[in-house]
Amino acid sequence: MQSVDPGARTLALTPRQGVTRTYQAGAQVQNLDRIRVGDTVRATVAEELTVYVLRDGELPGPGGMRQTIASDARVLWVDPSYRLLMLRYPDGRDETLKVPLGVKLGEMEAGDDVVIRPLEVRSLQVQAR
Amino acid sequence: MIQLNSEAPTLQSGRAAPDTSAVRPRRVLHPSLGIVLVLAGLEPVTTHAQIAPDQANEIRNAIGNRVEALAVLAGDYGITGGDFRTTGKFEGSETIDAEMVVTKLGGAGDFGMPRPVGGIGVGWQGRLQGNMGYIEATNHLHSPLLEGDINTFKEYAVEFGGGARFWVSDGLSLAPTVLGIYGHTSSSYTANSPFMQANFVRAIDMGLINWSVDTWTLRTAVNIQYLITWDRTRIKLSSEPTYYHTESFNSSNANLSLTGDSESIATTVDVDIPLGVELFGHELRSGGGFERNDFFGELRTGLNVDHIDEIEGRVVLDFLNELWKVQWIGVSASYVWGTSFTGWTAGLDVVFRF
Repeated sequence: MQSVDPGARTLALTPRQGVTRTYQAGAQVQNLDRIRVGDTVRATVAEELTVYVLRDGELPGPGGMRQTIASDARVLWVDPSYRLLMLRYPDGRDETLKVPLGVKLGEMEAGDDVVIRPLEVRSLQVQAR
Repeated sequence: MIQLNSEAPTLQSGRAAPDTSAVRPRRVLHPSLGIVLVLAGLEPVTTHAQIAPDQANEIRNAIGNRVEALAVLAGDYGITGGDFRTTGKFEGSETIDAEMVVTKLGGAGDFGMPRPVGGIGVGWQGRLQGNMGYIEATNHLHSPLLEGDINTFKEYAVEFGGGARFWVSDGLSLAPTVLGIYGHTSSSYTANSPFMQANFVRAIDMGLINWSVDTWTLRTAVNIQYLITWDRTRIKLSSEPTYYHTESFNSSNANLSLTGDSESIATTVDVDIPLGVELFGHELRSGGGFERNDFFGELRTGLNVDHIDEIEGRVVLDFLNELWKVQWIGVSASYVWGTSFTGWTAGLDVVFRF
């Protein structure tokens, strides 16, 4: 636990592997005032992944404008049949995600860039203090 | 830009190989297969006659064929099983009243992500294959000479080995493998006919009945597979020519030893269809396929079939990346038919992917 703001109901978490992200606490998460910085917690979080299909290394924008993005991960492999998306993070770590029904994985391919946007913490349990 | 939402990705992490082949426990089978009788061809002139040496040699050859066939049938994961019934289409005048229980548990699969081979655009994965099986076959003999006799075979077999799968494109791959099969076969004979009652001890001494033999089998094969993904449906086409060499290394009777060579070609079409609806939080998938096993050499004579065809259907739930290495859990059933029998299988269908 990097920081906690019970009033704003926000939490900054650093996973064992990966970078610190700030989340909104979901309505089901209670007793935020008992959480302290430095606590080791087990958290279930929701994140939104946005996969960008780059053209010549840049993202085509409205009106022909091109913009560069800061990628959080890169698509390593896609299995649309079993709804699997394998990502490789900048630190070399790989992660395979099972995506929900309806996501058009067939439009993604290895090499696409991924931006991860933290959404909310859905459950929180203090493991060690 | 394409967006997707994923809950709790850290709870769903894991690796999965990008192909459909998987370690798959073979269904536990309860088949009965009519095999042509080893002793049914015995036709001395009178019921008082003894077993002639040339007849004994002929029977021993038939036993050798049978032992190799049983070792491969029980031990090899690749050979189909089933609940078989004879159709009576055997050569000659012999009739078969046989029951056979086969229990098999095994699997074959590629593990890990493909790794590049040099700079030639080919990837490779390790491949493992294993199986264990048990057969108990009871033949009720119906021939003028041996009417009423009962011949029972038991076979224990274990197979293990592996190789590598080489991906030459996203869809096409070749997997050469080398495996070994250990088999223990035993025969137990109940003589009710006057002829065999008169010749019982002599038949045992000659190694024709009440024997046991240990065998090893070398199995080499190349699996050629082509994967097609159409929308979300996966279609797998494969062919696997296989060579078997079997030798005995321990026998209860000095007259009984065997060496044999056989070949088979398994041709398979499998379709795996995601249905887009969830049950208990897992996506339903359906599918099935057709497999044809062509037999050559002593496997053909030992089983007395040219080929076995199998058509399979299944309904399963997708657990891939959600429950350890389980790819799916469901039920499946198949119908099996060959030159001289028909059969079926039904059971739990569990597939793992490593």
